[in-house]
Amino acid sequence: MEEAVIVVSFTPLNGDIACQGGVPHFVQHIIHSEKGKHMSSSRFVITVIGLDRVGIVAGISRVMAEHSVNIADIRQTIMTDLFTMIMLAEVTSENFDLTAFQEAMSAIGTELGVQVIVQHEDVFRFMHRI
Amino acid sequence: MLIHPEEILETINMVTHEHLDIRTVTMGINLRGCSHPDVATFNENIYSRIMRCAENLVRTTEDIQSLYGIPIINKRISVTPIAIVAESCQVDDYCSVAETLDRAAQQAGIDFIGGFSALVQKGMTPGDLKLINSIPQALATTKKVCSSVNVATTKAGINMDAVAMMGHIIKQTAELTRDRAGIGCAKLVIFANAPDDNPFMAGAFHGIGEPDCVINVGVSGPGVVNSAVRALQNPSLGDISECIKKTAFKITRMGEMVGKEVARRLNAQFGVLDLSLAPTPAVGDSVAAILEAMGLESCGTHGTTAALALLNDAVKKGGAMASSSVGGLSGAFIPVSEDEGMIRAVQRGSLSLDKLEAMTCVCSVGLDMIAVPGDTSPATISAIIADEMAIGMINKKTTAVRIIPAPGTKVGDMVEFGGLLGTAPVMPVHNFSSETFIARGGRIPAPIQSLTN
Repeated sequence: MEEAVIVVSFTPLNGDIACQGGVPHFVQHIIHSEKGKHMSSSRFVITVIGLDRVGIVAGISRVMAEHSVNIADIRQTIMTDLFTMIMLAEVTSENFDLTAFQEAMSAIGTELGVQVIVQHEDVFRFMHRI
Repeated sequence: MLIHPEEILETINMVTHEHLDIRTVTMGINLRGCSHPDVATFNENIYSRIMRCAENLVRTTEDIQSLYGIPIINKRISVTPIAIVAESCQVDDYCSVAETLDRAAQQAGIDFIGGFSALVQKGMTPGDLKLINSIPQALATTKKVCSSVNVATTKAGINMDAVAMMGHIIKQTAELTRDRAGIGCAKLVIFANAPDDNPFMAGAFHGIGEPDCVINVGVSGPGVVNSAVRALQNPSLGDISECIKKTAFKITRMGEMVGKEVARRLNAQFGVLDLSLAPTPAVGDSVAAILEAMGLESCGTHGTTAALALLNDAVKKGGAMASSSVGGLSGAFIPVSEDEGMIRAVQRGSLSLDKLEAMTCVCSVGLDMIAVPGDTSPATISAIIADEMAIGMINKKTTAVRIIPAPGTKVGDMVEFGGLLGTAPVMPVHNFSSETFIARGGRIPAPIQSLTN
């Protein structure tokens, strides 16, 4: 497994919460950065795990495009025959429906024979970092 | 801030293969404003108060579960001990209050509601007495109500009258739920030093010094710790402790993140994060399996108490580093019926009631989910409680007894409770009588440890 880094930095979204019209309503919490600035994150980590086959990236990214989800970063590896793709996805639409997106991703996953997991990025940051 | 792919895969593996979950999000609700002499009005008051606070609890926890991809298994409510808030009601028993709690729990869509409780470590008020006498009927007629009675503290000593009474109450509770293997007793805990902010059932209640509405979170992960320990190559005990600490840290961080977000969305205060290794009947999600991973042939053999002490301490250290709000019970649970490794250890003959009692000296809680023969006498049950209370009192820790004298069963039978409550092998108790000792009643005075001021 590579030690490579896939998330480069936070994107500050205008600093002040009050003027963040573009931040989806489901992510209203404020993260204190090292500099003490208020930032809000609307980024998700999408993990795709399964047997490699033609069309996985195409299928997954098509569904993401349909939900206006932008790919901020992507990395894929093959570990013991298992295809593993990790994407950092960014959501800017105010009316983004997470549940519908997760259902669509899960459905395309089933179609392609892979497991697709969509999680807010905070879970990884909180769990592994102080 | 960087996220490594291996950290992402590690987290996903913990959830999908090692049973990592948030075991419970428990909302503590103050009911002190609900008191009324008329029990019908009182019941209306508590029902509307609970519904007002908790109407969005389930939906919010489900949103958070989907946002972070971490399963939240139980949504629960704890309330101010009913013996306190119902004291002014002009009735002989509180069964209608239990039914109201059950109805509110059904309506809110939660799994359990705790707080049908009394705190009687130094003596009983008329309300405490009414509540305790209502327990058997209340637990037989409700599904989601959990009850607890605190009969001892380090500061007050042990109320042996209450201990003697609880032996009878447990027997009656088992009898009234005879058709379901005495499952009423699985919803009843007898405590020493009960914590005010415990999110775990059956012992949760909303304590006296707590805020108006609070979110407490219980995180679990014996499966994760088990896998982490088993992955080590020929480790020393120091290496094992270090590994458990790191794992506990990660689990705690995740729980705190979830708890704070749930509390924020529900406009409640975030209370505590209870990092307890709570096993489930799933294979590998077992505290016994962790102890065996340390090198014991079977849980319960010599060395088990030492291994459990190491585990419990490392869990606490990792948790304390990860969160400034660690509270509740925070340690390792050893409920026999809920832990597949413990069940096997009992069946193999390596784990006895006496060894479990010794283990409770070094871990959280106590004799938990233990089935004993249906003909066990009330005095013997009281004596088992008294022993456990003494351990809690002297060691300034929480201990508890949740014991099921399953009607009509004998040693070696298996009692099926279903779901997370699991399956309990009926364990032998000592046949020598404790009758005279228990009948003496009175109080075991507070120990010298209580004189700390």
